[in-house]
Amino acid sequence: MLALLALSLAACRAVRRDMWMLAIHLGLGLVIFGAMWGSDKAHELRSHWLGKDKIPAGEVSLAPGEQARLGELTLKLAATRVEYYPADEPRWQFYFETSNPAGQVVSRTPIHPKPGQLTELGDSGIQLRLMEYIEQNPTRDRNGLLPPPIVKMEFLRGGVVGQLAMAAKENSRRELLRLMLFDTEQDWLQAGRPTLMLSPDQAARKYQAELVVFNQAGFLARKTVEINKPMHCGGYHFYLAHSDPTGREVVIMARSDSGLRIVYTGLALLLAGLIGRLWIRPIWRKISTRKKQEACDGD
Amino acid sequence: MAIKYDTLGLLIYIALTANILAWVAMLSTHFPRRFRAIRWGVYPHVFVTRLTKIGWAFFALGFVASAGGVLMRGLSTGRPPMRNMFEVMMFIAAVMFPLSVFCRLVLRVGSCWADALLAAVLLVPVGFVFSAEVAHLPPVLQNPLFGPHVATYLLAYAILAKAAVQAVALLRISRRDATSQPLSERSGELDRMVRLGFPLLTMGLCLGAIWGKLAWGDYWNWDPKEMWSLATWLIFAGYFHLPKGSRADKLRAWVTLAGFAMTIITLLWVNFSKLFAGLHNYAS
Repeated sequence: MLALLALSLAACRAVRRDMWMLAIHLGLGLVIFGAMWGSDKAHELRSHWLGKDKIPAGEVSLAPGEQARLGELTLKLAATRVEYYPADEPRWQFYFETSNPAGQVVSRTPIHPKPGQLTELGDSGIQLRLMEYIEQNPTRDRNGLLPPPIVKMEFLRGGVVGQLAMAAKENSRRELLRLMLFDTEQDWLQAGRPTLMLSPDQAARKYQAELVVFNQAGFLARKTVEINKPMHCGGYHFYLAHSDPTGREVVIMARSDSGLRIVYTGLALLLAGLIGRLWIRPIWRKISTRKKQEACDGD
Repeated sequence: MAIKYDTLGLLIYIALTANILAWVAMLSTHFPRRFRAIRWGVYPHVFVTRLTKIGWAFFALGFVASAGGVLMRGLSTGRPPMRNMFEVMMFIAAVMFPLSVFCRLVLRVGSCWADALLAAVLLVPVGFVFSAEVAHLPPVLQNPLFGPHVATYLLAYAILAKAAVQAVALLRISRRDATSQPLSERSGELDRMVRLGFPLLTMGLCLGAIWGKLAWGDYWNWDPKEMWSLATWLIFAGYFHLPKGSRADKLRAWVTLAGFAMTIITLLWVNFSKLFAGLHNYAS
């Protein structure tokens, strides 16, 4: 496509002679070239030929206080924060999740267990009995969220029975469910990673993660990233790609900035060219025709 | 069926009724002269002028009501009212009157009856199908580009819908006489509409790319909605590469209609069909 554009620029005189047409076609060419420059293959080639050790993209899952390596940089998650929209009836909701072998969630079903009664958890063959459900003081925290209830539950799977007491802030719920009902991790994985979650049923207004970036020389930058407000440093943009509803675990995504400025320049040129060609030029022509006509009438 | 019993609902139903009446009044001026004279027994010209004025008055009333609805919704939610299809369609319906006036006065493009009809058609699902429940803005939509990106696209869609009406009119005339004066007039009108809409379509695409980079990490994500909007853009880009002259008029009209079909797929089908689940699904 880039070759086609170059050919049209070279062959078509109208494109070369008209400033706006040139801007449109050059802009499109730059967008395509910038996209190619920022592609995975281009990163691979630059790494091979120029020895630049820059990854095109990457993701790490972090809990507050944890750090992980991403390419040549080290990321540390200092803190997280989730803000909620005030709800008329805020409540905590049980969800039953199953995942595929790659760990991606394939189903997330809300369940409504009633105290003392057995509730089926999807098709997993696991039954849940809610034994106790204790509401805490209904005062919202500074983020607008009600405190989680403390629940005591009993799980049944085949002949196996397990009991669990949890508050939503406990972050080992997945492991507990596995250890209680499955002999090995392999069994749990094969059963579709059945997971019980207790999450706030309020719409999130804002997810925030305070991120610290280090390179080999040491500290590089620190910023609170949000969805729509990434952090830019070291040739990468860092995004808050995902956060669990309570902010205990977030996924930070890094994207290389290679080719980005070329693409943006191309988009600006394309847009300026189109506006010039389709809006400004006809108005300009009309004005100059009118002026000429007036001059003729005057003569 | 989701009938609204509040003030917003009242404004929507007033706008819907006014737009239908505007359409009827404006369209009736297009009846054959002989029919008008026999039917009403008055001097047609006077009657036509009056009907046109009545039509415009109803159209203006429809605009005031729908713009009031959009404003009310925006003030009550504290954000640009373009979060879901209910708000989006109400917005396009409100835009039709100023667009129609602009096209008539500046671009010399008529077919105002079609604008009133389009506004009325859009307000039917707004009044009777979509829920008016206020949905919170998820974090991904909390960006200053949300308003400009969506508004630019919606304006482009409204203009290209008007271009499609011109294309249909052009095809109708070309079936009768391929070399007439009205044909070249219609062709000029079609051209002016596409020239107005295409830069807006491009602007929407560029703003979306910049926003996509901020929100999702990439300016292009191969999302179904992005792909369909690119297809729309390419079709209209193709329009400008067609040869000039009256011989290509019909082809240009067909390309415009194909582009308009793409805008419908992008706006409606991608949002409502589960076939195209993607990053833009919060709009449905």
